[in-house]
Amino acid sequence: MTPALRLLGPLDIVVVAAAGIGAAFAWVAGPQAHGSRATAYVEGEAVAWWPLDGATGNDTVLGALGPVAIEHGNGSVRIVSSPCPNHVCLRQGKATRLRDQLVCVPSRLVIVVEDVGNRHDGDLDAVH
Amino acid sequence: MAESAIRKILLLTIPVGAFLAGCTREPVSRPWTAMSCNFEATIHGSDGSVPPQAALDTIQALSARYEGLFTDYDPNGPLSALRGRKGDTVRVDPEILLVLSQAIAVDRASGGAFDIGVHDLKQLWGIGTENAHVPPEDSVRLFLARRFGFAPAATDTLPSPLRLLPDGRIVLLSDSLPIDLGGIAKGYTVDRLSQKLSDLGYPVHLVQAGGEILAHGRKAKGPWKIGIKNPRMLDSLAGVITLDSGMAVSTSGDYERYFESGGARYHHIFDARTGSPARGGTISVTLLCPSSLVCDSWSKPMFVLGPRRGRRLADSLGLQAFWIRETAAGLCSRRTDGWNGRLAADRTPTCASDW
Repeated sequence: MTPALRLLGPLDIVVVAAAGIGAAFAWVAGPQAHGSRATAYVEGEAVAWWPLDGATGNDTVLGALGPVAIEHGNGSVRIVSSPCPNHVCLRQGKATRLRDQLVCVPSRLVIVVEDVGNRHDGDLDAVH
Repeated sequence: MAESAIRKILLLTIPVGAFLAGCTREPVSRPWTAMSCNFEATIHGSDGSVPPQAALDTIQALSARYEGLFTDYDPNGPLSALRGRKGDTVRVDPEILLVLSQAIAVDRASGGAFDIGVHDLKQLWGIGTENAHVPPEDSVRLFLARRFGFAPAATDTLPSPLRLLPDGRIVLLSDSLPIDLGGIAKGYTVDRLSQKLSDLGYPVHLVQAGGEILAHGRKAKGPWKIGIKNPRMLDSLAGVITLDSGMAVSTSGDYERYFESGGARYHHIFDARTGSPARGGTISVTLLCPSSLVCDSWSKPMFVLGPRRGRRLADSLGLQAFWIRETAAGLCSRRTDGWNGRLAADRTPTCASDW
């Protein structure tokens, strides 16, 4: 037995073990994935989000150049119209997988497919 | 008495520490745009000198500063100092000098496969804009004549548009040639943002700018995992790379910015020898490097060179490379020998030979 453990009585060890088990439980049973959502960030600030599990819907986000139209639902999200000059964002198609991103640089807009419970519970830290 | 005090300290610190370890595991992320691409930073832990969101505010502002420093769109920006007459000697911001030093070193080592003088060529093709088109051959020839003074052959070693002097001054070797650091500035910026997060007390983080990613520190859940997109099916993966602390990964592909004309794909990675998008067969290359600056600066030349010419160079530099090409039978890949299990879930068969 280590010197530190020799200082503890049986009840102390029970308390410490219970705290450890509690922390482990918090670790394991913390926020978990419950489906995906798309979050729109303008200038780094989250301005809108939509669940991707439901039926298809449409919404508009105000980007740096004006309104950007978004289609979301059925497991995907895509940009359907944008005031940006080159419309590169429209050609990105649908984002479907966790961590996928749609980017419209002129509008300063990034849309990220996230996990509802904990966006980092997915296996990947980034996709590129 | 002393034993009692130690026991109380143990009783307090062990459970509180364990509890906090459980509570502070949630990472904090933020995506934003800068330097014409998407940035994202993810930080783990919450024991920094400022709150996590303040740390993200700081690096987002830093990225905007680098956007202003390295832009080639602003005719009066810091890079405009390099747009003088042939033979002029100029000084630039120390950070620009550092990036230029790396760019010129890569340009030289790759025989000109990394050229920082292609700004006007990119404008000519307009790739990534609504005006993207195949320019008249005369326009391309004119550019090559102006840039190099001759029509380069496929095997020519191309001259750099700049020369560095030992005292930090720069000699311009071309007349009024705009310098384009778009193929390297993002990597440098990622390195600086990562350093800033560490300085602010967040040593465990991931920073991404477009195809550049740098991982730092060790997550509680194991190594960092980065998915590499399949260049022809962007909603599926060509592989997964695991990173340890301090490793950078970079991917350049012909699917990022391109247009199609006459059944051919014209992308944004140029071969300065031809004045056209590189057509050596590579459609994507992924590098593993010790810094994002190194990765970013080498990914374009490795794309241009392909495995036949790039492998030995990668080996000599200690870089790992993973090239993908498209054949009539589908995608296949070649790689350097030192991946050591870091490239997992590789879903492309090995090509029969280099190209």
